[in-house]
Amino acid sequence: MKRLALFALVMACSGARPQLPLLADVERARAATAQEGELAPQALAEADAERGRARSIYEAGDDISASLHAERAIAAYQYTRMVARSARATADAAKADAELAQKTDELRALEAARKTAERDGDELAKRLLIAREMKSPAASGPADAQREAARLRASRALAMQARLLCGAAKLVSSTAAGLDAAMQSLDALDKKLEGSPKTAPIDEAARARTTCLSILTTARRANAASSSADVLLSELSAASLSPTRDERGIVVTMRDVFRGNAIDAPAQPRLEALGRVASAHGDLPIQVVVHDAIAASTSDERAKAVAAALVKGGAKADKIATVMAGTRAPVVDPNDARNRQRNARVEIVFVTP
Amino acid sequence: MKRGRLVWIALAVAGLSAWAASFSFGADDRSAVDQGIAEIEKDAHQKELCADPIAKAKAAEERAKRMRAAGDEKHAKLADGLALEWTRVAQELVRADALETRAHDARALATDAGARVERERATLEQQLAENGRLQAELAKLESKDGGK
Repeated sequence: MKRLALFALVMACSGARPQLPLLADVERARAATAQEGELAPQALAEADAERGRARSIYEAGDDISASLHAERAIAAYQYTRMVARSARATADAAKADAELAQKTDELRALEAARKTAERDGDELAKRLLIAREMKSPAASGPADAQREAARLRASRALAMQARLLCGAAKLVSSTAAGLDAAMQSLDALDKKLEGSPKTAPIDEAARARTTCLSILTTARRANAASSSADVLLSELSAASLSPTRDERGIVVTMRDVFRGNAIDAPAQPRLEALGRVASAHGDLPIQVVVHDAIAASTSDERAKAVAAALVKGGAKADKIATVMAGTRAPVVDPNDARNRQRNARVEIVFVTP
Repeated sequence: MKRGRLVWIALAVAGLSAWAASFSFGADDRSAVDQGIAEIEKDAHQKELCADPIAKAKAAEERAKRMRAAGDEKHAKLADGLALEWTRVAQELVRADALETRAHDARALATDAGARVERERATLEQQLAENGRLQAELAKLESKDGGK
């Protein structure tokens, strides 16, 4: 109102018709909005039209209407700037979304490459371990009777480990290179160990183990199939089955499984549940290993009972192999009467192909 | 006589319709302004964000009321249009603000993904270097002289 009064006063004094101050404001708003026209052309055109109306009405002498149109033009220019801001933000979001999609793809590819590199690294580390073991130092020399007895126990354990590793290799590939020869050597070694030799074949047992590990590693490399082992490990952990990993694959150890040669009732549902898990991971063969605390029957009746329970749960029968390990691979000293019962256990090994 | 009365009635109806039409146009504008402002003021953040254009819209509404009260319907309608224009500014400001927030969030996600890509690339390069080291050691062990 003050501006209008001032405008009227100036007009009266000068006798000329001065520029309406609001029209100058419109021009300033137009100048400030010029760049936004590219992003909001329609809004800018409407604002320009309003600016034109303000000018022509002013020329026609209706100052109040001209002022109102001028104010509306100023608002319309501000609206144009808002529309441009929206358009700019939409474009920015679209650009960021596209970049996110591209980075996500890149990340997936890198993750896959990293996993492959890690697998290669694991395999190389195993091969390196084998190569180092193959270059083991000179043969063990003679020792006293007590030490020789310990070596004999260690030889039996190594021979059993070798058998389990070769067994796992057979599950991965029944035609694995060198497997038959290794099994024959193992049979000969077992015979030697049964005879309680004076000198323990510790070096031979260690070599047998290394050979079987090498065969398993080679069989895996030849197989080159991706497995669901990591998923399985998570599932078994979630089911509180305390899985562990060893050179063969993923191991679930169960105790108190048998009553006589049959499965004890409380163990049956646990084994069947494990069979259900196995059915969801059909690509992983299973090795069932029965360990005893004290020398027991070497009949594989108990191992077969475990396999049958797994099959009942859904595991595939043709993917299961059984081994009777007896007392040859203890986890605690078999002479420790208080604790040796811990040696009695069943290992269910999901062999990683 | 009868015909003359009909003409007068027709003229009166036409006049009333024209007046009602002009009045209803302004009423729509005012309703849009009130609804638009009420909608924005529901949200405290939007209310604060749009304080300036809303104040201008309300001021224009007040001017329109005063003009209308003084019988100046022509200028009152123009003031209504001005109020509507400022309401549109406020509404577009709300939209721009929301879109800018969305763009900012999308940019943050993209930046984070970029950082993860770089970390993953570094891990991969580290693993490849480790593999190379293992490979070299293995080759040395497997060579005829056994790496001696």
